[in-house]
Amino acid sequence: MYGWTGKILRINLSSKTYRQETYAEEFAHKWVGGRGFAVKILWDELKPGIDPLGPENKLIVAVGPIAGIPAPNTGKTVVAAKSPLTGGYGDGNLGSRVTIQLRKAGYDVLIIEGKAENPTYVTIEDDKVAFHSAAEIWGKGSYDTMDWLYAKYGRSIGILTIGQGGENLVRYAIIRSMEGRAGGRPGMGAVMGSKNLKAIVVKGTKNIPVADEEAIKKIGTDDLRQVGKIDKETGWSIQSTTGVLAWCNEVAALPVRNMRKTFHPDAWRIDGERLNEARVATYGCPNCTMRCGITILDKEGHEAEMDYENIGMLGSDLEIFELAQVGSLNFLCDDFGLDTISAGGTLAFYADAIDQGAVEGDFKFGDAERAKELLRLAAHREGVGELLAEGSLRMARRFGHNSEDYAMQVKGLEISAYNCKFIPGMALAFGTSAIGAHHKESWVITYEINETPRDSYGREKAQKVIELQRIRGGLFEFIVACRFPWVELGWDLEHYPVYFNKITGLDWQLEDFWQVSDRIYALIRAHFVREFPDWDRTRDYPPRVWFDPANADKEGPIAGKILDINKYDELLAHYYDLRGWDDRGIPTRRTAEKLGLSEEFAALEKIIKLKD
Amino acid sequence: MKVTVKLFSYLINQAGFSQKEIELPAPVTIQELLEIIQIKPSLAKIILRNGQPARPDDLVEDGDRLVISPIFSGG
Repeated sequence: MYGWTGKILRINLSSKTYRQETYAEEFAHKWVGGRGFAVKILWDELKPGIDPLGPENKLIVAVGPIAGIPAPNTGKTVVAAKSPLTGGYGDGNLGSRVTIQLRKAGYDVLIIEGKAENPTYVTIEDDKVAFHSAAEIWGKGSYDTMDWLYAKYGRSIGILTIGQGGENLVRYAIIRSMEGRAGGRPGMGAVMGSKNLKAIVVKGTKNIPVADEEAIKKIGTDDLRQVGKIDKETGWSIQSTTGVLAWCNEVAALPVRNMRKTFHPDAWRIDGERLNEARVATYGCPNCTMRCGITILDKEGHEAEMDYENIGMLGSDLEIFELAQVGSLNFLCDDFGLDTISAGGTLAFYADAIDQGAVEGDFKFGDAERAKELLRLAAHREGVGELLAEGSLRMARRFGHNSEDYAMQVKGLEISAYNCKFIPGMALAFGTSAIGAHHKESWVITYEINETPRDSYGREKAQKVIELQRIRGGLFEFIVACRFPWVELGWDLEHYPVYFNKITGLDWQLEDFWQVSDRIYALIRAHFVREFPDWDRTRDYPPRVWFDPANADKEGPIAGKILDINKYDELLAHYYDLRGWDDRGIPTRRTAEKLGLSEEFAALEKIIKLKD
Repeated sequence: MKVTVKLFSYLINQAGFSQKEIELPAPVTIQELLEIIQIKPSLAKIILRNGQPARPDDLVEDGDRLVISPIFSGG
């Protein structure tokens, strides 16, 4: 077998043991890697109803056949577990040297089980695994932790670590790597923390098995260079992802004031032009020639790495329009190991709930200093932080007073930085995003604004959402690579089967990848249904406030407009129909069979009756 | 006739401005306007004219506001 090492490393923290396991070629072809491996392993190995923060949960670290190969933007790793935020399958994808080191150590997958008795970090060096006391780094932020590990093991090692947020089981704690990199929005950092696992260090010395080494070396490095050239010619990385902020403000899609508003006259103060002016350095992932990480000095003088989602959710959504202050909030989230999107969404919800009288408190929109303190309290679960660490949905359920209507989340995961109160297709993308409201699955907003009437709810929008989910939430999550060359620079998707085939020796077309994508989406959905047997289509609805005429903009390009709940429901029906899912949003028996999931869905049938 | 052009992301660096009122001697298409402001048409992927989707061969009219973006994904 080429492309895959065929090996899984299983580490048990309770017993301080580990073992190498092999997997069959059929498993590799069916699930490919990354998200595919993770969803199948967690489906097979987790019992429904387990506590996501208990020792029964398992943390998966998985790469794919293209990961770590010198081809455009292949430095990504998937981290996955049952989510403490959503209660369903959760994952994330981050740039890390772990990608390359894990492959060189001879593994495609790590399965971390059990719970260490005391704070621990694990080192993996080829076939050797060691368990070390993390007493000296427990309680430290992620930046200091990484520095400590670099000093001990050198800078070429791969590191996955958590900050205080993960240690203290904040439900939206993420996993961190390479200073500015982060992944695992639905609480993957908290799962690490629940296992008393502060860090994973990986170093490998083996060769990655590749079918046609000469060809992939030539094609891959030429293409890496070419992507870098396109980036330079266009100037994409002048603003990187933050170029979209001013556009969202223009088309009334910016999150402002817990998404109550869609634009703001001060948005220019935190946009991509201002960010570029304030830039002090640029960072990227391994095997990347379009580095997107722009750093600025925050209010306290730390180097903070910014992107659009961070600025949207920690800036405009909190009505904080001083870039250095947004940088401070960004830095704190990174250091504490909190997801910037969910942290911003949770604070915005808290300020809104205070405004609406649902709860008493002293936090107001625009108060950057208090926001910093609240992040610290959340990361340490001190005072009101105990509440904030739970995320917006659980907070709303505690507050009552219909506050769940404006908790801006789907399935418990906070919505990323696009305000869709009048963008039906993008609202559907958030509604049906596999792991809860995440932009990574289907970013349909530009297609929708540019190609269709904004107020249409036609079948073509559902079709486009699925098409993008297959690429973004599928292909790039299981091969595993960064989507940016394709989505930001127009790098042709047809390049990816070429890389894949040279690496694996197979002869796949793009169509073959879409079948894998659909299989993964169906099994992720099955995970959720297994955990919530009363599953119905309302779980794919965005928050009620997006359908409330009283919440329509009072001025601007979409004044008086709001989503129509009946039409949204029709759009959702198109989505289910196109996917072969039933009217509850559950894949039908026939769809499961077509996707090669008969066995998995026969197990699901013991919990809930499937339809044909 | 006068039109307002608002650019985003790297198109700002290509054209040298982010927003500008442009005086045109005669009606032109959006494609021709892109040439005037030195934006490669292949990079102008998202074009809105007065908030509505527009095509490169659409004619611009006096008082129009054109919003022109490259492709981007927001991270």
